[in-house]
Amino acid sequence: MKWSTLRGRVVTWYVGLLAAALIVFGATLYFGVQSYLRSTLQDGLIDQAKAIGTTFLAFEEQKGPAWMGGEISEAYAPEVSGRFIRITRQDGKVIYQSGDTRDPLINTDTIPPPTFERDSGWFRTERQPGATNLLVYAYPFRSSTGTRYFIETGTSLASLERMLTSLLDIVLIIMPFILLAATLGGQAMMKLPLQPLVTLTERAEHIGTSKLGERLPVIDTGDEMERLSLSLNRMISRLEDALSHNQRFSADVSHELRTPLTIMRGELEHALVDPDMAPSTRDSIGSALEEISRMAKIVESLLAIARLDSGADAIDPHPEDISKLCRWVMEQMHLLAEEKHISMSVHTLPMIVSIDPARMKQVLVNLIDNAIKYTPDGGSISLNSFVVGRLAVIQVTDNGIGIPASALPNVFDRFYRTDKARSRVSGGTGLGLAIVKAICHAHGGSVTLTSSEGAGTLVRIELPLAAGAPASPSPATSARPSPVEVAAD
Amino acid sequence: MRILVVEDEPKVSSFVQRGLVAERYAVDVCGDGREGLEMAQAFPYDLIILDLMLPRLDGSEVLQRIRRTNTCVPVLMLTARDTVEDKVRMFEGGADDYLTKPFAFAELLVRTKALLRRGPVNRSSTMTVGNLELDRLTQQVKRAGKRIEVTAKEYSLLEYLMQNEGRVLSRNMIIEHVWDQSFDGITNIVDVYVRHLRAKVDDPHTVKLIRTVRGSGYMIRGEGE
Repeated sequence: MKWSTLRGRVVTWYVGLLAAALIVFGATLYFGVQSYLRSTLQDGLIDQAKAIGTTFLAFEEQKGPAWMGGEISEAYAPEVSGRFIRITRQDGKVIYQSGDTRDPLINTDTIPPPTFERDSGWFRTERQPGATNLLVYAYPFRSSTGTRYFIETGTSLASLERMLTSLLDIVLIIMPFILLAATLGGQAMMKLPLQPLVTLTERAEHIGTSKLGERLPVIDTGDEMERLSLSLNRMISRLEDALSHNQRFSADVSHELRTPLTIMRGELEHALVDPDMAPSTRDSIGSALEEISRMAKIVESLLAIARLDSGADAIDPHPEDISKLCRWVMEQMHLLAEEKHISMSVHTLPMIVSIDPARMKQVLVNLIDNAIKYTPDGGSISLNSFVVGRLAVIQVTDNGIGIPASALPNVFDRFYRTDKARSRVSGGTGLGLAIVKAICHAHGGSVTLTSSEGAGTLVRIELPLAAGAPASPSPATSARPSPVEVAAD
Repeated sequence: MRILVVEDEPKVSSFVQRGLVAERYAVDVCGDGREGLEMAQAFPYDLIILDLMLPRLDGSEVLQRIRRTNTCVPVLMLTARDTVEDKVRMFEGGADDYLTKPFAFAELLVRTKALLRRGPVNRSSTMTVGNLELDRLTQQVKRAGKRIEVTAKEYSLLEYLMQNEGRVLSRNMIIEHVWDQSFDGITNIVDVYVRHLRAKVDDPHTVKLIRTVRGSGYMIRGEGE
């Protein structure tokens, strides 16, 4: 039973409480029965002792001990009653003693004589080695002449003990069975009302990872579950609205910005045709044109992200060898790295992944471009790809300036820049990593970034392997990829 | 050569018109789909530049109706929409080429000339700019008779520049022709390759052929042209 599940916890609590209740009940039963049986025995002994006193001992002095002995033996034959009877006079002489009994075994000789210290009757338990324990009642009796006697009546505790033992046995044997039955029953009982919750969780997970257009099944029970599923659905609706509004807004803005950008660019380019223009004016117009180009890039990128996020611009995946793509990108980017004397290496194994090659190229170019931008002269960049389980992993590592820890959670956000001044100079759009993330997600994969400031950055992309592609044959193979050096173009 | 521009945004059609007129084309402009269709059917244009989103009659509808009567006239579409479906629908509708807004006028011109079959299509095996020679058969580059060793990418870049001699090529156009769109807007790869190419082609000579046009891109042009 897993403690981490609601069902596990509820059943554990409930079985624990049941066990405690059973223990209390068992103990109460045991001691209650014990005290009832004991008091019944005691009452019998008291009655017997008193009866012997008034019926026989009162006439002992007149009729003689022989008569009394005969009468008592006749009334309470030890073989029949299974009782022990002894009458002792105050001088210590035993004037009557019943014989030994066989079943239960009472060895009368071993019972110590009473002490004449008390004036009222009292009980004691005699432990007889090899025989049953004896409950003995000693009753002080004063005859009409004033002679003091002690009438002792005793009975075996064997039957009482036997009964209590079997009661205890029953309780101890039955209790685990009750608890086991309660656990199983509880599990089954909890499973039924919790089943919709499990379904709900699975569906919510599915909706979360793919389409917001779907809804959770409404649990038609009229209880808290139904209210939960309804309010979750309302929440998903609101999320969907907000998201689609956001995406539509991005798309609309991008479209609307395109026409004015076209006009600005066209007018300025036309103005540049004038051969008599002063060089400073020409420069100003050139600068404006550069900014228009950048703005156009931002608009394009925003639109691309909005489409990828909404799934409208569905990617067109087919099985491709990632390692080929990696090498191709490295070859293309090699000169850029050489400019900064950055060494580039690629370690990759052939692996087939269902991707949109144009989009994935864009991802790799983006990441390598970032790595080159943020690695100082003489640094190194490596691109590795390998298989872990059912995932294809692509890693881009550099030993560049890194990213401060405080900025790490936001690097994939749109327009987030770790260092505004630096990024402006390099002329990026602030959307590169956002696009990378959108493309990876559209492929059903993920992208993570780890970095330490001053030491370098590692970007890791995980993509599901194409169905039927061989998974990692052994960890040793993926740990030792055959190094492939890329030649300069 | 007579060109019809159907574009509802007057400022866009205005600079397109001015630019094309400067290139010695005869240009008619109209601002809505219905009028555009009537003009396209009334006059034998050599090229129609058609915006996709038009009032009264949508651009794709105009295109379809033009194609019913005239299958020959080349049509260049202008669009602010660039999803794959949009592009496919345009080509299926009979468009010959398209440009996504915002476009550089230089690109519009290159595509216009290509569609009018007198532009960059230079099929002779050698091209020359000044004393720079490029042989497409042997893929050799010579300047002042001296052989220059270039890499494959540098060759493609130089070939594209020389094909469009005297015309400004934006970085975007160069990337699309020499690389592919995954490099678009991300890297300074064009600048790096142009620098390398210059080092080989221009640096040993006093006359510089490859020119940077700030804000627009690069251009190759011989001396005195």
